[in-house]
Amino acid sequence: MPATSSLCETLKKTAAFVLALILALCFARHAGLAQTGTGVIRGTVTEAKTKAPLADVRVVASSGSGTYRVQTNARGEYTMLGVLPDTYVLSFTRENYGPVSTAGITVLVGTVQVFDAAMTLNLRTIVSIRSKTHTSAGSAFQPNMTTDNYTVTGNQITMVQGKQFNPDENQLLRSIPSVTIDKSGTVSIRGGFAFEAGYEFEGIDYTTPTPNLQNTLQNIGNFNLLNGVGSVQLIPGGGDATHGNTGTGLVILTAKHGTYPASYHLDLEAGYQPEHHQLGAEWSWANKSGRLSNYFGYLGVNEQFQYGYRGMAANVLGSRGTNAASLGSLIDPNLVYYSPMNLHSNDFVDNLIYRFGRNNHEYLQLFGQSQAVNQTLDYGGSENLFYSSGGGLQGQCSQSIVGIIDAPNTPAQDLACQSLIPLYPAQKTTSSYVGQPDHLNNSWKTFKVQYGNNLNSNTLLTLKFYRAFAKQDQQLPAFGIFASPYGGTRTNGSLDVTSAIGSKHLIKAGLTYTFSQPQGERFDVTSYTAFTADPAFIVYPLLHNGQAPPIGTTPPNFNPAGFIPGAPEIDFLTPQQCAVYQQQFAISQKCGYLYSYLPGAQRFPAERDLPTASQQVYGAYLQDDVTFNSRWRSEIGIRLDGYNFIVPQDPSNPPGINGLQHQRLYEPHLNITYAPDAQDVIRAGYGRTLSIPLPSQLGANVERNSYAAFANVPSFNNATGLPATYCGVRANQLCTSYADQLYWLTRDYHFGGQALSAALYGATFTNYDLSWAHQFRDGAAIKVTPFYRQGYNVIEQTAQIVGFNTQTGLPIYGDQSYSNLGQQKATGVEFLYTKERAIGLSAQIGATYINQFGNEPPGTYLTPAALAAGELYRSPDLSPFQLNIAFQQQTRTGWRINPVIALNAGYPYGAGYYTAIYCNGHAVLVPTTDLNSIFSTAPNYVDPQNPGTCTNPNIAAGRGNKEPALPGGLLSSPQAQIDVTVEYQHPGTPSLFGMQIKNLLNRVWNVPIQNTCYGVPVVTGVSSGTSPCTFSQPQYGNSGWTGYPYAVYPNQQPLTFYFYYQVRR
Amino acid sequence: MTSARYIVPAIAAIAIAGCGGSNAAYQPTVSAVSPVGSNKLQFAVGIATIASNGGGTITYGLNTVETLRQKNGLSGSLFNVPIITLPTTMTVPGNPLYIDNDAGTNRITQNTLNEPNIGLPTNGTGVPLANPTAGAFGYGFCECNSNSGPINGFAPLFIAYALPLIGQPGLQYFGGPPAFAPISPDLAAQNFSGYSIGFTDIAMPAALGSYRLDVAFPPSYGTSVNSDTPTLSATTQLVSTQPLAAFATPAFTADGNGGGTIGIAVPAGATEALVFVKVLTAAPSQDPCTAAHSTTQYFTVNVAPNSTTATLPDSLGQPMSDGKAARTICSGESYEVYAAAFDYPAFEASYPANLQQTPVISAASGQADVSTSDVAGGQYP
Repeated sequence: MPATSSLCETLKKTAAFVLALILALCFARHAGLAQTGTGVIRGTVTEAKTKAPLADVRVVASSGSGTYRVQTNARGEYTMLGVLPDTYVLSFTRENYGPVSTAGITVLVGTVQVFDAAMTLNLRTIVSIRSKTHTSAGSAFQPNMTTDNYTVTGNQITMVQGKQFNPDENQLLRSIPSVTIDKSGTVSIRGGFAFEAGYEFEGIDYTTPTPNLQNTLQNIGNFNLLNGVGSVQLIPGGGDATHGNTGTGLVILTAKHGTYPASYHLDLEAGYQPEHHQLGAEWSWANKSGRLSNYFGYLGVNEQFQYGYRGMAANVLGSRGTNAASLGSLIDPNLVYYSPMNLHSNDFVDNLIYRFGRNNHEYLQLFGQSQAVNQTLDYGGSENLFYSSGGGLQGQCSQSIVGIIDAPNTPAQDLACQSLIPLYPAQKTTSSYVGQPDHLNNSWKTFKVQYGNNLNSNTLLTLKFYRAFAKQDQQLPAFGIFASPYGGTRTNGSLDVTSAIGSKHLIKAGLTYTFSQPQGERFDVTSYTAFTADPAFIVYPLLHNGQAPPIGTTPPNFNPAGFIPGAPEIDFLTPQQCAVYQQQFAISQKCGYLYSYLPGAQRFPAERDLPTASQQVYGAYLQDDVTFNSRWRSEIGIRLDGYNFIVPQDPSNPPGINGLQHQRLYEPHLNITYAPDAQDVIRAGYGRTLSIPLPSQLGANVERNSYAAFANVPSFNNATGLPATYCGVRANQLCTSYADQLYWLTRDYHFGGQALSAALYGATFTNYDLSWAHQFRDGAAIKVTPFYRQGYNVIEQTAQIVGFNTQTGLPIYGDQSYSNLGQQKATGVEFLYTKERAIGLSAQIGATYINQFGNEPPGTYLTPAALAAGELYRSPDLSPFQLNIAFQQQTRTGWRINPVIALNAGYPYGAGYYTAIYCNGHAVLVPTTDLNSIFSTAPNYVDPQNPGTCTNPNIAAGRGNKEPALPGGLLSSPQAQIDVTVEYQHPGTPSLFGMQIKNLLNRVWNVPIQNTCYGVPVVTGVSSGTSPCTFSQPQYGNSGWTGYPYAVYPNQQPLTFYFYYQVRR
Repeated sequence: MTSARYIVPAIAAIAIAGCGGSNAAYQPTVSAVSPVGSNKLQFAVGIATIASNGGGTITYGLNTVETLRQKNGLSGSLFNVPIITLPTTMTVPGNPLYIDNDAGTNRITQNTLNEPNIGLPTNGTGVPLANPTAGAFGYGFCECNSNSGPINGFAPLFIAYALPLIGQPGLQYFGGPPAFAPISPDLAAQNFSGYSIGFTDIAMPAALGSYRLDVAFPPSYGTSVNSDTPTLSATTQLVSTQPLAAFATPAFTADGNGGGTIGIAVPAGATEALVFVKVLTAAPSQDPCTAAHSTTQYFTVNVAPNSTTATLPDSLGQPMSDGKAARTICSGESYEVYAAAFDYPAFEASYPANLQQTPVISAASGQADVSTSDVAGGQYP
């Protein structure tokens, strides 16, 4: 074909694809990360003796995934673009030249494998050569990578997971250096928040627009369950320009694809105490020509959970780790009592690839996953659980809601409880017991259509469109909260072009657009405190520069037990109810205001929240992978990442949280690789990244319609007898109606002064890393990577203690505030050792040392004062050192023994001697005492007769242990979990029998947490920590392990046995 | 370089060695200080001259003063159980306001010291918080034991008794400015109204003889006191029943700027006197001064024995929104004025200035006598 004709053809096709992309973007509600899901093989073929380049050499790469054919050009260069990840046999043939072949060319997503061949004239035998880059895909030594990353594939996944069909994604990720599992069990890459890392599966963004209700510290859509994953690649730090919104790192999961010949794999698994069943199935096939291939995977899991030693009651197991999910809730949902009881999951994955066109130069991929997870919560059982609105005392309110422990309810308290508090759906009275346990349903569905076209021998165009749907449904009657639907959708369209220019340059460019539509409908029947508390208290942050009221000015127990002038509480009463109130309180104000407008009993309206904003995310990049020579390579790229928040414009009702509507960042990336010899590679990387804020970080808007019943009632402040004047964003406007005043009270109670603070925007990170990898003669390899990362303008959540729960002794925090005042500084070293053997000993050892400082103190929530003071703490949930060892001994007789050891050096804990508070309007660092903290968590106690001042308290007693200066100064004991798998497969047979033992040492003790039952000043007075747990009530009692300032609970999952049978053909 | 074949077993061995453990192994070291060994207890008694009915009625009772301090001068214990043993010739009278278990005995226990009338703070909705029990602290008895902290969630700060005990509900003596350090807004917000004056007078006739104070330190809040409970004791003698003269009710004259002049007549025999001005919270209003007076405030003026007037400065109130101190008494606010005179260095021994472990709490005679006036009130112009 003439060159001009070819060019025209190319241009036409390009124009058509661009048009298609534009149309897709226009009609789509959404689009994702720029990633083609394939790799590149390239090199140069020369004449063996003269070293002259050889043109027209036929180069064929073949594997079970497909066959790729190209020819060398006049300069002897060849490039294979769009190669599916697999390990290939590469062969070179040319007339009159002896054929050359090499095996073991492993292609990974986004990588470039370089293989040069030399051919000899008139040689009649096949030359089989060993590739210089013959390293396994998961080896620590990857000379062809231009970006620092880690890969775990096929057999390695089996080794670090102990077995195939192990769906535990966290176990897989923790085996990779740079990944640490924090105290709450959440994956962190180089210490960043889970929100700050990118996750993708087969090129689809697997994060949701809202935090996951299962673990609100992260937003991973697939419930951390693996299915159909062929390899995982982790790019910590800056990475390259082809990926956006990666924050502190990126996890790339690649799906398995169909291979020839067809195969299937079945897994049947069972465990007892706790009960566990699992069924897994894989079916992989391709036709002989490799044009059509398909992979199908199914995994069904039915698992009961056990915490602590077998048979141990849930109500003595305390809390598990720390979780900000408890923020603002009446009850800490992380208590084992409310932990998941079980998990039922059905997960389907299908990956179909059709290759077509001349020489199969085009392909179409259809990928989809459908996952449904159901969890019953209330591990402790729901039989005697009562609704948060009341119950438990036969017609009386719960003591957690009203009054002092052991104090009988007054008639007014009972009246308020029975008549005013909103009812949970299907709840008949406030004293009802929970009819069904708390539960969480998670639906995750994705599909992707990807089209690739080798426009010519040097250029690959990839067009991708996907959608991801997250829908969660959470019912928490015991907390008075239900959320449904929750999650949201992401829709992405992207265009990527990869073009080889000469033998030195590989240019990559692309565009991507994503539309994120969060869902977050949430009902809260407990926020009626907005109507029972003093309005002046509620609007305090709006009138005092965002500061929460100091401890002591706030009720320690929120409750509707009494009457506060100005609180709308008495407006809701009927005349008869007013009479009861009058008997208890000398009310001089007008009582029963609403009755004249809305005759009949009125309950407080429940709060209903809806997401504030949707979001557009866009990105564009240009990158050049330069191969200078066999030793030096580099990768230079620039990327633009940006977003637009689409916020409903209503000046009189702006979002509760103020967010920057538009942000963009140009991100340079530079990676340089130097291979001084065939066994060593040194790589240096720099990258700047943006962590795009989630739409949900703009919060949820309080839905005005919830108060529609009061729209025609004039506003009224019973303290003054006049219309209320605390409406509007500054709490200084006349309320237009009673509905308006209820709305603003609820909103101000919920968001405080957040709407007045600086607009939120995405954090940025600067990443540096340097690595050295070495391959030993036996194929084993090591890699050492020191790194440094600094985060700027990190979004931090803050909250102020506004009370405490009399049953648990835990602080109750005011509502969350967000700010960009956060900082993060992380320094560390990663280590990886790999050794793979088909028979014999294989091993993978990953270790991460990280020293990170940020704003968050451990064990409690970041207070606004700490953030304002710029105080940095050792990152609370990170263990400074984590080590993961997986090794397997595979014998020729069919036995496989596979221990996996996860070790950490302990987690930071400790209340710390000092804390940051607002003292007379100034953020200062002062000793933590019962003056500035909840008594039960204070490490120091002031002299009641001579308390000192807020900056200089007179400490008369302590809890008896030496607290370090700052929270997190103590390190818990090292922890190790050992899992062992033993398998037997008789050689030549398809059946495999195995047993997996989890937590071999039955180590169940958790990290110490502050013992809130130990409110005892031991230095002077009480000589030991044998104080009764004053808050203790059935359900919450935690006897046994509480005679210390810190409580350690045996609530980890115990020794467990799984037995399985697998068939593979 | 050869294969690193030994890496795997070596690291595995290290890992396994770090396994296991028990609860105790995970706990930080706890050390406790013996309250008996490290603290010093002092106790003094005297005669209390108590004026009421505008000075028309004079009652004589028992005055008690104690200090229980650490070496740094702060209170020696935040939870203890005090018992005063009176001379055998004395018996505690009954009083319907109290749990009457002490009536008819010669012991004053927490039954009497847990006075119900001190105005404990509420939780903001009118419901009283859990009461701390009474203990012996750095300067005088008070209902400050830490056992209410776990329930209420915050520190049980000092609240003065409504004196005299076993009498009709009386007056609360808080040390405030200008004689004492100003109370910072954050402390005021936590219901700390002022410093202890150290004395606790009891409306019962005192007899000559030996008085003993035992302060027991139970190991936990729920443990009752028995003979094994660590205890500190102090004994003192009442050698004279000669009282101080009655203290006439002070007279306050407003200067119209927030302060005023107080006319007093310090009783004979007293070596020092304190005048107390209690300013009651007015109804909320937009007035910056009233807004700054969100809690009841106490002001104290130290008066020399030979003085006939005391001056209450104009601007001792809590800071207003502009940061300036509010007037001592806002226009329209109610106030009460009363006084106490001592024949021992009551003011010098008080917090926050005195951080001696054993401050002087008695006169040269060994007694600690007090004379208290009745209260005069009014509304500030």
